[in-house]
Amino acid sequence: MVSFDYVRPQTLEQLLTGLQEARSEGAVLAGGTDLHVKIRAGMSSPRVLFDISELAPCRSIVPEKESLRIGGAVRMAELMASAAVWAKVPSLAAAAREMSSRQIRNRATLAGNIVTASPAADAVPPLLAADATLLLVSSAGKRVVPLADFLLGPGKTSLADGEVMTEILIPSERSGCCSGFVKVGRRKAQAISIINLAGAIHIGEDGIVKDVRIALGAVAPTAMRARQAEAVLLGTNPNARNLEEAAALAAEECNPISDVRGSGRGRRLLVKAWTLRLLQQLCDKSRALAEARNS
Amino acid sequence: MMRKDMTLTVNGSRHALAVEPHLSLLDLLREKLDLTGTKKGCNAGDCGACTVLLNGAPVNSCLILAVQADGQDITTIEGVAGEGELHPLQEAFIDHGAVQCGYCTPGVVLSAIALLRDTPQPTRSQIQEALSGNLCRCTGYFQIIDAIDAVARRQSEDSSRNLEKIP
Repeated sequence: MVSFDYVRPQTLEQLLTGLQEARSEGAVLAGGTDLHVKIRAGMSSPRVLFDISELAPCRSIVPEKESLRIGGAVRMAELMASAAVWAKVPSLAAAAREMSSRQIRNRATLAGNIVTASPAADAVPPLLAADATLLLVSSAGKRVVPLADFLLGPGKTSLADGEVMTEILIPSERSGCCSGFVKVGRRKAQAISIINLAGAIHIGEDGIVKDVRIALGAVAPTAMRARQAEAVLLGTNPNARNLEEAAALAAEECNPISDVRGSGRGRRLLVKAWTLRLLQQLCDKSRALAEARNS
Repeated sequence: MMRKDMTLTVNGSRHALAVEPHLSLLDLLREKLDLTGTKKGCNAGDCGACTVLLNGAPVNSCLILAVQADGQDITTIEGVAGEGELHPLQEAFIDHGAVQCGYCTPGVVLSAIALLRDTPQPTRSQIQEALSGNLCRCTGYFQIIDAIDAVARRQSEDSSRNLEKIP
């Protein structure tokens, strides 16, 4: 029989004190869409849940001049309805829109998607491509950790006992940058991604790539940047040949396993095909933006 | 574990309850309030049979603790029909043969109510998208989509007729 206590802290201080006292027996409850499933499956057995689903400091989306701050308990439905998220990190809004079902998006949170640390988490590639950092708070203090360093492996993160992810900090895309997200699943909804990817590219008025980011999910123990693919495009005038080369490198540098959703070889083929397609789309868009500025 | 005192409004009726913290909202509705119209399918957020409206938004009641719904407003399938008459969506489901085994139907109807409230004139793909968290293993979905589409069309005809009446 699954049993635990439940606390709904009214302030961040109450939450941190409670988490400190509970130590390894405490768990943060945000959307609960993963946590309750894990508890019922016996994969997690916390003694006390601290509910942050309505905790004010974790519930807002704050656009700042150079960045966007998203509270850990902001829900997927809120991300996809936010003009600020569409303006500053459109690939994240797109990922939220493609995730699971309406019922789940009305509860599932951004911090939850990160902390669960599924290699296939849909919100992670857009955040990784955007160089997002995480604000982790405990009664001992605060630390800001790059998302890339936070994810350690399937289900493993550097979150310490007593710590909670209160905010996700995302640098704004540079003007002229275009970003996008692709999810490949067995069906459109309610599907764990076979692969997913996010890309961002900024082509200057001279036609040269000033910045390019490619992040791949479900093809390695954690979501990863395709650094070799990025390096091939940076500083070039992208053309059919080097776009294809970048896509092929992305497929080579990832390390997918075979599982119920797809074979490793199939996943590499998907990465190659979809990286190429996404890069082509983003190049076209970014060039159009550059031309519009020129004219 | 210590029971927690909570209040909950279900289909307009306020309840004061003491519940165990681990009790799901679904089990509260079914086992404590005898509202068995809300179904338990997978109990893991995949099937949507347990869909209810939480402050108007469709959610899986299996993935919400009863105590999390303290002070909130819940609509279940028992709350959608009027006095002595079915909700137009329920009528349309009957007319279109959209109910076979019926297990998914309560959740589907609640998802459809939320859809038509937010998007009174949905396209068929919007209807499909709104139902993507409700699995039906009998109908193949076509009859369900037809039923919802028919209600949306009728409502738009009604509202345009009402507009014409305005002098």
